[in-house]
Amino acid sequence: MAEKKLMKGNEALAEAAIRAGCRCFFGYPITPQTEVAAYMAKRMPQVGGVYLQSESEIAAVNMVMGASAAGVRAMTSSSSPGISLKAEGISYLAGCDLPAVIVNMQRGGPGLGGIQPSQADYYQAVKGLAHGDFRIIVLAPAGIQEVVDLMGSAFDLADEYRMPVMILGDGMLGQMMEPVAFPDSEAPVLPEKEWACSGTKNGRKKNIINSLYIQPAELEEIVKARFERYAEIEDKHAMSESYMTDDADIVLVAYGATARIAKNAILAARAEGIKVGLLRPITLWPFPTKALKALTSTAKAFLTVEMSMGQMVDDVRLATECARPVHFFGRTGGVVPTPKEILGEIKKISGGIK
Amino acid sequence: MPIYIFAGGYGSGKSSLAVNLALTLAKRGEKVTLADMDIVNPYFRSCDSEEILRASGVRVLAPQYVNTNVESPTLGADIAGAFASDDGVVIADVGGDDAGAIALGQYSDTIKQKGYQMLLVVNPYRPFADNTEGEIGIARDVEAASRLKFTAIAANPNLGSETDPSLIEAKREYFRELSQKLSLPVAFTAVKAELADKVELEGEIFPIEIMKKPGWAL
Repeated sequence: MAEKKLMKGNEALAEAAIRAGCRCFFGYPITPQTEVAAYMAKRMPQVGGVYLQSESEIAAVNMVMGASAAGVRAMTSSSSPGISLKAEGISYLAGCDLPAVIVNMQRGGPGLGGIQPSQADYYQAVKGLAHGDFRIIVLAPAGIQEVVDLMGSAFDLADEYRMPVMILGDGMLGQMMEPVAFPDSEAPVLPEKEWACSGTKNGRKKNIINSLYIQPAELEEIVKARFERYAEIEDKHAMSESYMTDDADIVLVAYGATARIAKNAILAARAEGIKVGLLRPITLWPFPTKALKALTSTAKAFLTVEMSMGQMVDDVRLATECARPVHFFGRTGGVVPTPKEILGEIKKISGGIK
Repeated sequence: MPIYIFAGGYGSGKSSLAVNLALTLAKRGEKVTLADMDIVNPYFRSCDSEEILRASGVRVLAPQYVNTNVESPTLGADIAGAFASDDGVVIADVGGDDAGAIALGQYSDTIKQKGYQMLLVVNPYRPFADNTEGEIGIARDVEAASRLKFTAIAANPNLGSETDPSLIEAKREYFRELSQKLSLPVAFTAVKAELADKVELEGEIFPIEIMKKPGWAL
């Protein structure tokens, strides 16, 4: 393992993408993710890749589509309002079965909102980023080392299933600095992309990348085939972390940076004799339904904590099939919840279940 | 009269050192003005520590409209006034890399007339600064953008929460080499206060308090 570096989440994410074989980055600046672009601008020329600041977010996602169609590992990043602009392009990527990695370092919304950390784009990422029957894989790292560790998976999953993968972070994860280690690995050997439009060289039939199917039956067949792949992903790739859940009466459910604040609240609650644990989804789609369902046999209540008015809480209720009460605590608009506030909520619930 | 300028690579610790120097000098009874000139990063900046600075008698000047809803990275006339004034010490915290240093350039004539110390803040654990050639590139870019010359190196080797004495001592040779190549002395090595007497280094050690972003309890 090489010497650790002190990096911002945004910088570590960019470096990890390059190490995962990303050779095309297209972006447009927006706080709090601008360091991704700034880092790519410096590093891409060193590895023979392309960094391009596009004229808009819409242009950037369409450049990703072009690069991906040509078989290159490509990425774009933005923050909440910019992701809304990329939405159409992401639907087209899904409709064309093109791999891509899209990063959202969320900020307060709606509209221009604010620039401080938020998790209010959960619905957007997980439920309905754009028009049409499609899914994207959504990964939610909680620390900078995990950003690095998940980036390889993001590109691998995108290639394996030929679909967009989103890294859903927040301003806190993007902006904070932590020590991080990059594994000393060789440059990845990328899978052969026989479908790519990379030139026939007069040696094969031409490939066509397209999302337009005028015949309803044909489109239905294609969408259904895609959903068979989605079912396989749901079965194989849901990831979560369990923290002190074995004996927990109350299980907190939180993702990303919020999960780390929740852990502080859990330690404070345990110091007062309240048995609390955390189930942290690492993949938001596929949602770790099985892991949550299993906890309904030991936990008496769940508390979902988010930097939003309550979005993931719906999936917690669905996963637990309402077998136990599911409570919610959130701050929004860029306000970061404190361990003390979360502890207060834990105590309220704890008073109720005694 | 003295002007101290903290400049250098993005995220190298300029704001931390500027705030710590301001507090140290204020404790000694000096009249201190801290000019937060960072027009690059709206997230972490020296004026986040405004409360503790003001309580210690430090005058804080920040970009106009900072931390408001107006996204206008402009520096007010009060910053120009501070550089021109003969009243006490001015500490300038400049934004990262050459992009941040451009904002300093407009004051370069006044600053040159007054005389200044410009410190190149270096954390070799940061990307692009991990070899001396990379750091020299950063230093040259900042000098060109600011139209001023560095006068010394402020060594700030740290890995955040994982910093220990051996990590700091491991960069001894790096700083020797950087100092030689740039023909600049190392003014001091910044070390978080609780490690200050555990580190074995030649040269001066500047014990610092780590300023945290309020509310980010991770």
